[in-house]
Amino acid sequence: MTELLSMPSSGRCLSVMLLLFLFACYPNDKAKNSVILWTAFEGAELSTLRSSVEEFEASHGIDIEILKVPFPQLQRKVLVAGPALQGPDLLLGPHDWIGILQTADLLAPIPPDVVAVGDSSFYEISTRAVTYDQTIYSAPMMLECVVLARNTKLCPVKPTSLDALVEEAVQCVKRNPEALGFAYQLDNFYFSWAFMAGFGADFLAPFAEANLSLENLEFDTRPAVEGATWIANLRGKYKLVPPGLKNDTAVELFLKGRLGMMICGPWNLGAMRAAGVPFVLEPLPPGPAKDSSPFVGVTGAMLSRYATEKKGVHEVLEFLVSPELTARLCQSSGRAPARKATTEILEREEKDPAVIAALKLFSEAAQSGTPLPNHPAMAGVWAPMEEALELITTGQTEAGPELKRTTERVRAKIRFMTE
Amino acid sequence: MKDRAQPHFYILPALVLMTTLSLIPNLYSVYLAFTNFSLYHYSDFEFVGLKNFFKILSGSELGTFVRVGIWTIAWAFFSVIFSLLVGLFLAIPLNREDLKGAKIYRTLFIVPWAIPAFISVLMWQGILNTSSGAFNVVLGTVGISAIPWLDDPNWARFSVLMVNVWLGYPFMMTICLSALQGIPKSVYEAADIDGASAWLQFKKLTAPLLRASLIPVLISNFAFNFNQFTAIYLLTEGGPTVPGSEAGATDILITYSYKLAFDLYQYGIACAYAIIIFVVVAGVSGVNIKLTGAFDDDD
Repeated sequence: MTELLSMPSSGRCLSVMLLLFLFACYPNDKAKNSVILWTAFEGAELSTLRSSVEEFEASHGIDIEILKVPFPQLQRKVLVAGPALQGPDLLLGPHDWIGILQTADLLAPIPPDVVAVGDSSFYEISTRAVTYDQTIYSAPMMLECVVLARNTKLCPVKPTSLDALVEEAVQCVKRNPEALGFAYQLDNFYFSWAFMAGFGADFLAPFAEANLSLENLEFDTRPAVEGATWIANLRGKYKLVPPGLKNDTAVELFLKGRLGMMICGPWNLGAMRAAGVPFVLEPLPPGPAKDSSPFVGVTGAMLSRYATEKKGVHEVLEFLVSPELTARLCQSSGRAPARKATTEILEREEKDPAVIAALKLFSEAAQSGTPLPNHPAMAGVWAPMEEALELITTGQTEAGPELKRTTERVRAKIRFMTE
Repeated sequence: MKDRAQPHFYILPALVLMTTLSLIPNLYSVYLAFTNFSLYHYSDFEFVGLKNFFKILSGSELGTFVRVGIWTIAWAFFSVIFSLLVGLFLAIPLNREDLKGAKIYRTLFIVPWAIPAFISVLMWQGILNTSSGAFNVVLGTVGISAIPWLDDPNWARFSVLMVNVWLGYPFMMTICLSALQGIPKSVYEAADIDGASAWLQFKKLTAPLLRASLIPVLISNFAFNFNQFTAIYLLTEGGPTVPGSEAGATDILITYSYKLAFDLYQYGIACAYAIIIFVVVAGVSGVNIKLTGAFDDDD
């Protein structure tokens, strides 16, 4: 130390810098030889993945390094780390990130022997959802969407239409003034879309084309306006949904037996079964024009464009979409299978009738759902749409003019993004 | 020679860290502000000159910039003033020597400072919820109808300010307390003999004597609140929505530029906003320093 101090200052400076540099360059051999997998899986799903991966590593002699990243940070981390060659080789994530990650030039197409366009061993919706610009960018593992959860004590009658849903909810409140009949976060576009689709809205269709033409965007179609008005009436006319109700609150009330019906995803099932409230799961009741078509998310494995030649990546990709692994993951998460062989395994191996029924319901609901558009320009849709729903459902604006304004805002926003 | 070199050596670790972790990234983001770095130009972005600044300062974006800018200044100003008033109001009685249990009170009043801000903000978010929050439940039991604390633009602005004052007053109180303790007792004794009232003593003695030690704190506090991301983003995410605008009613410049960067992937424009924020903060601080002479050498 004293030697270092007595050196000329520039020399000291240099030697310290050199030391730091050497630390920074210390090679990470493990990362180089193992397949790096990033995921936002949690709880039972993560431990299932980990234990299956260990078995795979032992039998195939391939190292897999799993990094768990909290979901809200996952996409951003991939976008930052990818170009710096610090990103994952394989990413488990929702298919609606495909457009964004592909536009950022981070993804490679999935090899056709893993999954090909129109591959009939997968459900049609799985392959449709993961196709962007005629290319498959994610190997589908599981599907998820929402259904209706009904407390059979508060709401004994199964609603067969959206009108019947409102009627049952109104009756529920009449019978139990302390409870709510039907409630969800109305300005949540992910949920509300299903009902707008039930009225026949299809204003997201233009996003199916990678080459989006802004002139075709029109959010204030008659079905969309009718759907948004129906949603607004849940609060304004029928007083079913209290102002400011967030989805966490709705779930909490349902678990306490103080909410008759709510919108529910597979992620709610664990808590619902633990709470001991008597409930059934049903598809969202059909709208006047069509079935209510919830958004469908496809969890899949995406391949980094920097990892296509890496040893072992192809095998790991095949392993990740294998019916054996996805069946285990579906069992631990309650999400629905993305391929038919997975369903067969589940039908054979799952013994609990409640779990089988839930898996079947989520699977059927997903088949008739709307895949979340995977176009990057959807980033310009979510916020304006949620804000429009907020204004409409709080009675500040009418659905028609507001959705017309939304069309303009979304067009401007996408222009702003792309220019 | 050795003695002159030694300080440099001690500074070196901090210097290296500041350069690598702060200075270089900041310079890089200044560069990015002059590029079209965005999702659509992710790996192939290029220098575009002042285009991002023109984009911010023209068309519909200008209206948003002005509205958000004015609210940001108001937000920072009122946050500082109200935290100071609450802090000072509590510090004066706590400073009295005849106050029993002063230590307990001081500890209690400092609690909001001791809890990590994001935890208290999330707690407040629950308390202020329109349908299930504690405030409205209590108001409901005495027959007052629910107040849309976070759902109405003006109430939301009030609520974020209130929460920020909650977060900020313990610091002000501590500063005021230590400043008050630095004032010699003899001046008050002299004032008592001259028959000055308590208010007159505050106005003519306490306030001027506090001023010198408080002004620098207030200035830096203004700059801090100008970029107080946590309180706004965790409480309202910038909402509620303002019809026809990208920025919500409580969005300040930093939360709005965050949205541009991470919701719309407009990194270049977000960096341009960051530069504008920097210029404003630097300007306001500079003017303040000049006006008050707070940092002038006294001797």
